[in-house]
Amino acid sequence: MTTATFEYHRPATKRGTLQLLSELDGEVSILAGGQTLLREVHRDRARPDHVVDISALRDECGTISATSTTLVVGLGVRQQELLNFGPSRHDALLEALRCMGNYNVRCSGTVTGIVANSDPACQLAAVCAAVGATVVIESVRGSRRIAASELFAGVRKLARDELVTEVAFDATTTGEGTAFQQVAQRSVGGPHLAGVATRILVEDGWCTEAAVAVAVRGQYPRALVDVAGLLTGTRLRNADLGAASEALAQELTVGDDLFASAEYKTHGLRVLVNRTAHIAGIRAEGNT
Amino acid sequence: MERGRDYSDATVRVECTVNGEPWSVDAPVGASLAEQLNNNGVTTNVGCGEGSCGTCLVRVDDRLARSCLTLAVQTEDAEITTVHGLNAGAGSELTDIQRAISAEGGLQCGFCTPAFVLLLQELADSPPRSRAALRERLSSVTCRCTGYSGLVRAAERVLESGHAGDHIRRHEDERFLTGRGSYIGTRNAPDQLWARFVRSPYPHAAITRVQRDDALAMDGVEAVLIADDLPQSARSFASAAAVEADLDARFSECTLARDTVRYVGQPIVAVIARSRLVADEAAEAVQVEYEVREADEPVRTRTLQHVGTTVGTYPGTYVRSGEFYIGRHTAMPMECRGMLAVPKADGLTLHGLTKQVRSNRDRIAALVGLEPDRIEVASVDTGGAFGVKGELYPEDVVVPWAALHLGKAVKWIEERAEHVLAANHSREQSWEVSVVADERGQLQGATAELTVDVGAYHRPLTDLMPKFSSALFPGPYRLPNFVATGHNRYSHKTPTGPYRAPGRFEVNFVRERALDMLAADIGITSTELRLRNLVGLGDLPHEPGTDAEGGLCLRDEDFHTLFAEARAIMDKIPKVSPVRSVRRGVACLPFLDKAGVGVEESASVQLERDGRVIVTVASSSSGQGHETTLAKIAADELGVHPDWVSVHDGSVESGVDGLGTFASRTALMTGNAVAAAAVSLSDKIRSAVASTSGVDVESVRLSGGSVQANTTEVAIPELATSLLEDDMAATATFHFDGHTYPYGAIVLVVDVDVETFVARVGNIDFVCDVGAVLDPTVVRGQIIGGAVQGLGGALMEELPYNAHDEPLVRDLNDYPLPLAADVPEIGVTVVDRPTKSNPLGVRGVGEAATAIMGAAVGCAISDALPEINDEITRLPLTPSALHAAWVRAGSPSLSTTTAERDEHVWMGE
Repeated sequence: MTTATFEYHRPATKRGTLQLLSELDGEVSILAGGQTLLREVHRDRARPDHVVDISALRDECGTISATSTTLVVGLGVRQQELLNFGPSRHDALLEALRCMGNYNVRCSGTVTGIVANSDPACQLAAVCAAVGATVVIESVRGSRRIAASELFAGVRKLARDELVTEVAFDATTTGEGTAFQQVAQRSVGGPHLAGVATRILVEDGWCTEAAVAVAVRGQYPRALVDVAGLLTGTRLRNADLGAASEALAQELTVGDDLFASAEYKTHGLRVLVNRTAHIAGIRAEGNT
Repeated sequence: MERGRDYSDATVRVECTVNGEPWSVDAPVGASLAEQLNNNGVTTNVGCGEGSCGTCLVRVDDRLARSCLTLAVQTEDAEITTVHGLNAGAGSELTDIQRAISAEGGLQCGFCTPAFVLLLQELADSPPRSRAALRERLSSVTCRCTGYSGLVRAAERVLESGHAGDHIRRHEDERFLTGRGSYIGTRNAPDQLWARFVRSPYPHAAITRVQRDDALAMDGVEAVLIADDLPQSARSFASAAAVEADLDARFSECTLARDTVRYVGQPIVAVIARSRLVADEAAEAVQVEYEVREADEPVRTRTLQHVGTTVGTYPGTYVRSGEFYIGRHTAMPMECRGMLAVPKADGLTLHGLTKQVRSNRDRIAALVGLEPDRIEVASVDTGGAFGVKGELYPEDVVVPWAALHLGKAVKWIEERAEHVLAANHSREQSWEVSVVADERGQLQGATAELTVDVGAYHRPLTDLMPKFSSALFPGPYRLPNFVATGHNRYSHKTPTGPYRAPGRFEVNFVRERALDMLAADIGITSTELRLRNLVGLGDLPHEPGTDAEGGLCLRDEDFHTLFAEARAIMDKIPKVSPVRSVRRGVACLPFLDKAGVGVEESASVQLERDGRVIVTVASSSSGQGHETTLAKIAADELGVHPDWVSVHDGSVESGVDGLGTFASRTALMTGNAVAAAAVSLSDKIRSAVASTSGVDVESVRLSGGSVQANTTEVAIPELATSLLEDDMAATATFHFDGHTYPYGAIVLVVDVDVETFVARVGNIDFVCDVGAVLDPTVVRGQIIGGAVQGLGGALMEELPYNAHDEPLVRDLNDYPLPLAADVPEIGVTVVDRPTKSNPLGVRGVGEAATAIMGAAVGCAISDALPEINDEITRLPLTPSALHAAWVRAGSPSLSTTTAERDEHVWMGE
């Protein structure tokens, strides 16, 4: 019988969790909001030897704190809690979160869980790449901070004894605006066809800095440097937005999937680059 | 539904509170909360087992959790509330929310109802700020029956007024609202075994070897069955299909595949084990070796319809040719299939049959080698069927035979991942059409080549779809000449069968799109073209000459009046969207559907000694509310309160017989049979009373729950104690040879974002004549629920395969169904006018709205985007498909009138 089983752990403290993670052998899966793991187990995509349920850490770590520059979201904060908190200067983040799952899923799923799972095509991946977010990763060996986009892009990975304990999202500063938009087949719950996050910095009506990233199936979230470059130094007029979004196809190759053709995805991403740059620009102008 | 590895050797003691009761149970460490609840008598309906559908929601402490994604061990110390906890204690009142859902028709089959009860409870505790927000919150759970309309109204009722509604509307509602629905998942027999099927992973392959020793050696495995283990009678499934003799197929379907598999998902081996987990494990241990084969996809061609002469083209006439495609869909009821077969002394009891219960029982009996009357059918609640569930499938033969063979009860519950591959698919049709009109726009004739991708095998009703499609091609229009040729393509896809509005969803799209294009050629509006050809009262009776299990004949259909009413609605709709990048399109279409398939149906009505009335019928409900509607019919005839009447889908021994529940036929066939039986019983009672009281039978009346003869009045319960046995029951059979025709017109608004090609349906209005309305809420529920199901097929649902016939959809996540936020307001105006074609005057209501949705969405989108009118030829019209149509049309510029750009460019806001 090829029976696999796992041992279930529910540590009560962060310290205890890190200690446990340092001691466990075999495949370890962390269970936070619980919207992913069991589905993966059912589909035989995960065969953990140990499941570490960190829901008890919510009291200790699950806080949200906002300063003028950063929004710090602790381990265990649920996605809907962050939406209800509604931090200002985080437009793209909130817009992306609103597109994820559905209300009920967001009431269980955690923000740090999204980052730890690092699905490269998810909405938050694009936000992290375009707007910027830092992940605090802890283990008994100490803690480190890395750019969240590096986790999503698969450039860096969590070590087996590590836990994502915090995500810090960069707030927009004066003259800065962000936006996230997506196209999906349904109003709620996907399938998500294409998503774009954009950050724009303006000064005296000119775009002085821009960042654009996509969330689309089968594509790592990349900051589109050329597209952003074409926005920079313009006044974000329709022609400028058009030229920048037209350049997307040179910088990005997407494939067909069962919901949309590559051509459509490219087309949709162009539209969304155009729209998010426009909106982020307006927000930047208003952000004084 | 739960699929996982066997964690049974590692159980954990879990202590929690369930509905206020302290629980202390040993749970396998990998078990989900849903499994745990179900194993301990708290029934929780699992629709997908993968966190998509939300039917398994339960409250865990402060939030609603998907119990299929929650580990039982996670709930240590948690407080769990299920729907059963809301009405603790016998006889306790339903909550305001439960009564509001009932009052507003927010439930049909009841499978998702417990989840919506909890969801509405949560909404009441933290109310949303707008109707849009309300619809978004309701989008956490998928309902396949109601179209959400009743649920939205129920939520608004509770949120706004706190007024719940006074009574429970349907007989069925109370048990569904309190989590006591008796679905197949909740049926268990002592010491039952579990079946699991090993299925083909290949579209086409030879089976070279089946190695089952490892599986057989596993502890708890009772049998591992292959094709040769089945008795001769049960090996050929094709025989059950009663395939037409003229079918020149080069293959016939085996119940369990023996030498060849022809589609991904085809069952090959059945593992029977003492627990579900062991059955799953053992199925994985079975090794099947294959030799992959090239595709072999024969096509069978025949003439489907031939009306008048083959038209030529005349000088000055318009000919419009076009190719159309309707994607592959399936019904996707929220409950998967399942069966429990329990051996008894002289045969079997089967739980889980639905739709065509009698004929399936007879076929199963023949296949497993029993006399039909030795199979007893236990009635169950069915969590949605829509034509796909309740067809006969190979599993329906293997499970009963295994139970007979092993002498033990065998249960099988399909997983969602199996359902998408193994339950019938439907629709996928390709059409080449030519429509000819004279210079005044009068239709002269049409030709059609129809290719149906019927899938790997010819199932019992495979030929129904092309037959219905071609028969309904003329629709509500005069079409003097019509020739249709059909091609069945036997591909390596899942076999096909009927799905709500079979053939008609498809043909309505094809015809109406072709008419739009023809109108553009002629230079008149589509509405004008439709008006010029619409069958008028003066044309009646009108025989289009086509055949769909009998020739069509229209006798009392007033298309023009209803079409005019719909046009009046259309004229009030603003044609411009306030959103910059969005164009609005409106479709206004007359429609004709056909319903009712005879030939006969019987029913019995019995008066009990306590005055209660029992109606016994042969049709089983899958959410349509038979217990209510049929009770009302009997109650009306007998002059008693409907609450006195209970309806049973009778055991075979009951003596009632019939074909079952499909083709929108229950009100027509079963309803009329119940009415006739009730009239006959009423006559018997009146005669008995007349003879005992010495009055003329004509002067005896039944009303208000009593019998009135001259000046005396006796309450029915009192009378019932003294009547002769013979005077207390009547059985009647209703014969009907032909069709009924629900018809009307639809107005549908669509807003298309010309940049993203996302189309969102705005308001929908139906003006329709479904004949006599037996129950306004049921009728409305069928129309709205049917419309939303059709909307899914028009905009998002599809089962694509790759070039090698490998399915791309593997679970519910891959097959999006409309959610509350996708569904617009749907207005329904029903002409309550009995048709003369049958005593009850009903026309059938289950499918007409579904049937017209693809056409309405397609025509509305083309109204919004006339530049690409010629390319809107395929369903579903996903953003990607609409973009492809635009590209085919040469990527024309699609400007919008409101050029100013603002922050609200995104339609979702």
